[in-house]
Amino acid sequence: MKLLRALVVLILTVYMAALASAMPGRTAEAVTPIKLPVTTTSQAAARAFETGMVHYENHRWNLALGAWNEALKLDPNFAQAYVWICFTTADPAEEARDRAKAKALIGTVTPGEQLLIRWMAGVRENRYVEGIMAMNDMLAMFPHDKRLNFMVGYWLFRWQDEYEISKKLTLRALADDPNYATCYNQLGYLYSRLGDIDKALEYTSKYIEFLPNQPNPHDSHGEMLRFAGRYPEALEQYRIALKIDPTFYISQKELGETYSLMGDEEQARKEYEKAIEQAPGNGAKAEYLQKLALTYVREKKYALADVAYLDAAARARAMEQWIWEARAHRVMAMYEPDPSAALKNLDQAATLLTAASGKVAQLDLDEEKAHVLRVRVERALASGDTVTAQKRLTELEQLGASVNTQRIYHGAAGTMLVAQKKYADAIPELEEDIANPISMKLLISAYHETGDEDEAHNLSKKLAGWKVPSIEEALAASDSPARGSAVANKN
Amino acid sequence: MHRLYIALVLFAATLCQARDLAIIVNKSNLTSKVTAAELEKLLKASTQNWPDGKKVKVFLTDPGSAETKAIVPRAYKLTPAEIKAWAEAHKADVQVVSSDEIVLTMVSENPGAIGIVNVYSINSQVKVLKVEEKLPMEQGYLLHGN
Repeated sequence: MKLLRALVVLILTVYMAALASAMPGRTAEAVTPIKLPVTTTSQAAARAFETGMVHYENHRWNLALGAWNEALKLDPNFAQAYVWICFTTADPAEEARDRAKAKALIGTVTPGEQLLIRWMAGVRENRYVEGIMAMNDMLAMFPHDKRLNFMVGYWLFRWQDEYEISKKLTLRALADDPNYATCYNQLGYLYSRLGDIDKALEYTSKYIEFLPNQPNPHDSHGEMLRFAGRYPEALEQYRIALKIDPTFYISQKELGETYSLMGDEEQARKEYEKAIEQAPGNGAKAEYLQKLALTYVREKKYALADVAYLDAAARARAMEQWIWEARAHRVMAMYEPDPSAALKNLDQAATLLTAASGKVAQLDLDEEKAHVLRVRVERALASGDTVTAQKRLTELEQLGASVNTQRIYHGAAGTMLVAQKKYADAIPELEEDIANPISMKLLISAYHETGDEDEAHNLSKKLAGWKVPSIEEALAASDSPARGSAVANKN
Repeated sequence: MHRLYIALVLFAATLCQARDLAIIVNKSNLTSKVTAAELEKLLKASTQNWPDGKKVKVFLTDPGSAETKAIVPRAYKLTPAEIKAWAEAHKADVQVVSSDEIVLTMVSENPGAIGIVNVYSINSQVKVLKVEEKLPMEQGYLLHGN
């Protein structure tokens, strides 16, 4: 079997090198080696895998997952298919299961593929140094594999907020193939992250020019228009995407997001309902159920929000989406005015997370645990119990070290310091918890207290224009009942 | 796309990009961890040699760049301007180069070298040192970015 596998690898490698050599204007030196090999015993599995990769490039994640699972039916020992599923799926149980399988198969694949597995598994398991080293070794091994450059660039910008290196790799992929359309999409998102929406719109327009009959370019352009506050145009782009492909559920969800930002929660719920129905995976369904529940929080209809979140939790449980189930209880604790009821919800969330141990990725588990601990810190501080708050903060500090978990810790530490009136110390902590409107609100008060009126003004302006539907945004925008405001009764 | 992503877009204008910085040494270096105090001495060339006798040579990129200016001073306990001035005055011990790639190459080729790079640049040609028992990206790491 090993010999057969090696032979297939050889065939695929040679085939890909030949393809690249046939490209005009390429020197022999520039094309050696070309692409990361794909180890499988089945040509049909290799084809299904490649179909999945193309879907991934077009951000058709559900189709990609379907194709890779198809490849696994044809070759159950297809390590790369497992690792790409693990990289893509929104289902933590599937991610954990397939990561374990990829790692178990690492000895059966080529050195380049081994680096791919070490990268993806390493960063998922909080072994960043090992994972990043493998990632860069892999890029050094295949500097002209445009897909690898694109994929690593995608990971860096989407999950690590590392824009400069991401941009460099995306441009490197484009230098090898100026018609590699997905890179224009990536550049659009990169520029939007760098705050240059005009340039972002330029790139997503170019993406549409390359693939006018694909839904994702319209979805991406719609998103850029939304960032620019051009809601009607954004809605139009999402509708074009859905007209091209009525199953493109992401655009359906984006319609909900956009209406929610426009303040039309009733219409947002209708759109989310459709998105929930269309979502192909349980992870996405569980996520969208909570987006729908959030519309009631934004309307300050907290009793209805409770009903919606409990429904979302029950359905998450039925779909074995353990973290989403726990999250529903944690979110309920965030807006709950009654401290003891809030604690019950947090205890419930913690119990569910403990029960989920081993069934989902530790990274995801730690991140939700961190959210629960942060709410516990906030709750303890609201009750004047700084001893408990400090204890919970220490627990939070000891959790895993993902980028998001660290942000949550710094946000909680900043919250604690503000409560202790140590404003100057609170500022660097809160500045680490970027993109959390609750931390932003505290940061504004800390800037005021330390006399930094310019920063306070700038951030206040930004928060006032904040348009992202999230529980933190909803609570920061309203007077949350959990924070003892005038609307402390559930309606 | 992802909710956090959208949030980051809107925050971009005030977001100062700074990454965890990794302290790297040659793979042949037997040292695998340092304290903050030991690191400061190594970077300032107060410690001239490694325990095995190899001469310490420091490689870093511009300490005043947007990516490093908030973090490198934590290791040196100097401002970026002071670090630049110090480097200028100690050219035999420290070299300021133009990119992480050059730092990585110099460290991988010089047995006594120590360098500072963005953690996302590291590869297996070098060794990453623990600082105060922590690696980059771990909670509480000294050269943590945001």
